[in-house]
Amino acid sequence: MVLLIVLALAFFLYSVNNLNDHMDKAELILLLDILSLGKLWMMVFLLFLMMLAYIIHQYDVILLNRVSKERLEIARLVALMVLLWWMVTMYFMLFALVCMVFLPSFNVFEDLASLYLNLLFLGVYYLILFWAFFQVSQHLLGLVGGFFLYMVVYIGGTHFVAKDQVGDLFMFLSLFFVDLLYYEGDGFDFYYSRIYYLGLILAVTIGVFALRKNADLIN
Amino acid sequence: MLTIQEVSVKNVRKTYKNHHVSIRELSFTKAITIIKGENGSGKSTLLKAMASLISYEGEIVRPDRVGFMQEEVSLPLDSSLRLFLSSLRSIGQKTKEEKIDYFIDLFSLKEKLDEKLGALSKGMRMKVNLIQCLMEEKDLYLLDEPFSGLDKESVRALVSYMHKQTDKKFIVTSHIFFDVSDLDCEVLYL
Repeated sequence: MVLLIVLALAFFLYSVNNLNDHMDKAELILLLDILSLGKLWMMVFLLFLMMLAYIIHQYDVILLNRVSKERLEIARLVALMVLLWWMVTMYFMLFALVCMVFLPSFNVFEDLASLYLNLLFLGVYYLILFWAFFQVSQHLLGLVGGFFLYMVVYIGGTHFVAKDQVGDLFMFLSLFFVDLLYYEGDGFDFYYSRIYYLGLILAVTIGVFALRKNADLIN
Repeated sequence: MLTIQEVSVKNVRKTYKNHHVSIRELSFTKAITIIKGENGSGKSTLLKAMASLISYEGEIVRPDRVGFMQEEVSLPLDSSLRLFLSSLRSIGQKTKEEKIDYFIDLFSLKEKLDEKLGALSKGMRMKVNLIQCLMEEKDLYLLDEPFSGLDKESVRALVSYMHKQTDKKFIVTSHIFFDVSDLDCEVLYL
């Protein structure tokens, strides 16, 4: 939490410094900075959360004596989602407070709320994706690999581009590695529709459960 | 009630990356069975297969309610013994408070109830591991190396507890030698 506050304040100062040069788009630039830091923070948090849940702390045998493996897995995913929600909420509350105190003339709260919901969606999507990568690979590298693939999209993604001007590689990567960007004409959005990504989450979840149905639960 | 003939293993084979374990035929005729064998002979694999924790080829007949105790298990080291056992009580089957008290007495852990699991010795953690398994109501208990790290008194307490359970069956693996001549049990070698 202390790290989060230090990071947020450093980013805020950087952002405010940036605003002086582009006062016409000041609110938007501030939102973009909040989003960029939020995505990075959330993904790193998610990676460590997954490592804690699946690699460092394993009480599976003890729990499997008591509940079915499906129930255990779902309970674990729900717990991770709650932790993710808590972290993203703290992050946005911090920025809402910072904006309220330091930038009272800015009217960014409606956009902040929309960003908050979109970031939660992104977080849940990558939580399921990282989980699937780990379940298929059964290795830490599966998780880290998923994280680095997202970083490729994160670095390669460009704001202020219309959707029909996006390059083929980014279009292809966005099929699985979605990112939240500011598109010209569409505002803050994902490249494909939320229904598509929801469908993908569902298909991946069912696929992983089917794949792991007869797999070894312990070594 | 479970009858002794209902637990058996036939032509079980488990293939790992570099080797495989095969067990032709075993039937567990007594309430307590001790499986002995060298390291790598397949004792743990057999128990994991019987607990349905790993995939295998072959036939295993066993009751539905099976408890499995793994030799090495990661416990939440920051949690106190009391908190750990209470949190397990609320998951799945509801285990009575008296049962936990009974096991705490049996393994002489009363004074350690408020200590963190990380502060307990290896032998005490083994006792905790045993308790978490035995406190659940099951028909068949599969205990992987439960005697390793236990002192003589605790071994005696465990054996005496197993003998008292007339409606339950225990299959126990052990690679260490100990005298079983005064126990009413069968010994199988893998």
